[in-house]
Amino acid sequence: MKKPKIAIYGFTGCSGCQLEILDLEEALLDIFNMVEIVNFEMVGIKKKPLPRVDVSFVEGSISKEEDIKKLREIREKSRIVIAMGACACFGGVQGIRNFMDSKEAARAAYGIDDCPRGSTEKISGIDEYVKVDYYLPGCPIDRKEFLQLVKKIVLGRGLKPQTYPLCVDCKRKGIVCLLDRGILCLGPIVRAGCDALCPSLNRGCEGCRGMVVDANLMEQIEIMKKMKFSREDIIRKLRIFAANQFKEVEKYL
Amino acid sequence: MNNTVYVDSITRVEGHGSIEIDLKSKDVKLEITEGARFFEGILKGRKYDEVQSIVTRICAICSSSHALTSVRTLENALDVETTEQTDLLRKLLLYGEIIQSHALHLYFLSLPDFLGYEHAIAMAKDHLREVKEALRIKRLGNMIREIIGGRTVHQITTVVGGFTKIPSEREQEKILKELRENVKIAENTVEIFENVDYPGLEEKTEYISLKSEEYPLYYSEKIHSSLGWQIDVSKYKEYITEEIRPYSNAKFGVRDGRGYMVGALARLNLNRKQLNDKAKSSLSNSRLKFPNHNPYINNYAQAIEILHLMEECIHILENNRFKPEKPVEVKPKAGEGIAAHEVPRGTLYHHYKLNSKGIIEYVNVITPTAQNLLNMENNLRKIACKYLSENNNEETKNKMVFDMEKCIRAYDPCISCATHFLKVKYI
Repeated sequence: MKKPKIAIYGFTGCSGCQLEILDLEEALLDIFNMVEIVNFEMVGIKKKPLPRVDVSFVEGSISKEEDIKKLREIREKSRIVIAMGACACFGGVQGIRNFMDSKEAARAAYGIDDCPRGSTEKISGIDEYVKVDYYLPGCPIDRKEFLQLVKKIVLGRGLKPQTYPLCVDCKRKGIVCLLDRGILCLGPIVRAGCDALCPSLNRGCEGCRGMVVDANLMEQIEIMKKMKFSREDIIRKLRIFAANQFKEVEKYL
Repeated sequence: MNNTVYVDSITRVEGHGSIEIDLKSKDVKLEITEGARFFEGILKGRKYDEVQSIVTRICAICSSSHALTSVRTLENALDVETTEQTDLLRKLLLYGEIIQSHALHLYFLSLPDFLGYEHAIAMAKDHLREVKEALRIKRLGNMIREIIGGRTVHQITTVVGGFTKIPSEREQEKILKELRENVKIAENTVEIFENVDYPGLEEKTEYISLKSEEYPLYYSEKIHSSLGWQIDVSKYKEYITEEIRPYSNAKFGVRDGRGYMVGALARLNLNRKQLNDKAKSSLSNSRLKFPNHNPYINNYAQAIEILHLMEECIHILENNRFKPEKPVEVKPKAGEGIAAHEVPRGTLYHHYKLNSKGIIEYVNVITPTAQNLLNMENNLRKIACKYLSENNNEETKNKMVFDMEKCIRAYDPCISCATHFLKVKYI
């Protein structure tokens, strides 16, 4: 069987998803046996011009004009493009800037009114510019989920996203509902797959995996309002990892 | 003919950076090209209990460092007193992070340079034992981050006031067992990095680190320098200024117009008498002498710190049993806080101002990499002077660029960290 060719690219972000891949540690050596990794800059594997591959995993959000060109080339040379992590899927934490006065954000960060030259007007996930075949969300991604995805690619199996909310995992694990304990949690409207990690550590879900399909947004808002969270509290909570996507929820406020 | 060599995208570092070398004037510019992220901006208007989730994302390799410095800054601003157990757990978490970060840097980003491989995967073919040992030590650091912080990257349990979950007795035993089994690998690591062939590059500079009762790899309120001065961290703005460079997307940390160095080599130069026994004895038997002014020796200094920290973690776990406890209660109020920690790459500063509702109104973050950039650039110029003459053939240029990349990697720069406060390009 021919080894699938895989490339890993990083745009603007913290490199945490690439690090999660490195954190597979000994399984990483197995991955290198199962697939041919032709680009992975963090490890020092770099090809120019960009290679033709079966699958590209793209990390990071798009925040510079010149990145758009590279991203389009990646798309053109890849059979499958996977958006890896909250930044590539939804824009990530830097996407919060889209909801601020850009001059104010620049002033706080640099003391000057202008954004750096070549910055895109909006910070976005990669699907703003290219077609994405699969979203592997999370901040960071879950390395076990990445490994499963690679196995599916090797076996030529289809990739299917989770279609149920994080709450299901909480119930399965017997975690007492955080909303019942008075802790703000987005679990009911967020795509599962992280094994309810934050709730299992007594922290409410902040939505780094984005919205689940057919989420009952109105009900979520009602619950949070009943818990006496202010409009500002709720909006801030919705604008952390996937502010662009959760904007839809704000309509129900 | 083109008089400039441009090394586009330095690999095996965290983030995106480039080097531009003027062959005639031998001037070198270190360009930081990572995209803008506006952390100081996006933190404004956030409540104190949301800050940790956002600042960890400045950097994945040192997310605990940002988390811990951030919660401590907020605790200073809100007058929150945490328990002794919280302090010990935070130390363990940070030590785990440093072990992981140093191991990743030494074996995956740096060692391929010294053994002549393009990357660690190619190196694994001939040096499988070393790579497997490296993975074990890295996993140990990550296991500590995972058990105490809840996840290897972007910790979850570290909040203002303490931890949302305390590791069980079984988990504590598990860490202790792994630590004891890996001390030998840490000793081997020191040996490997004592004996690799470092390029000669002597460049005296100022070294700065926190000053503490113990070897400073955690919180402290005092800072000291190889020039002999000592000052309170709260006065950080008096001794560090941040400069804007037209060609770079990151600010450069500057002292009196000059560069300085922070990180493992600076810490060893200043505080080596405070090391634990094993690390101290390795150091005194080493062929390398300290204080040392060769930036490449930062690699060796990191290896010594891994050994020191393994002993320190074992000591903490042998002498303490952690009990379930909740974070102390926090009441929002107006205030200002400053805190610094020694983290993998040097001293990290956070500074916030909060209003009466506990909402952030001002943020400043100074990362270790930003403080090292000017010194790195000075080292690169020195390397350029060493190699360049009237006629530079391809071989000379390649050798020079290789030494430069190796030098940059020795600092273990974290470019995502450095560009959280990305700068405008003036062209």
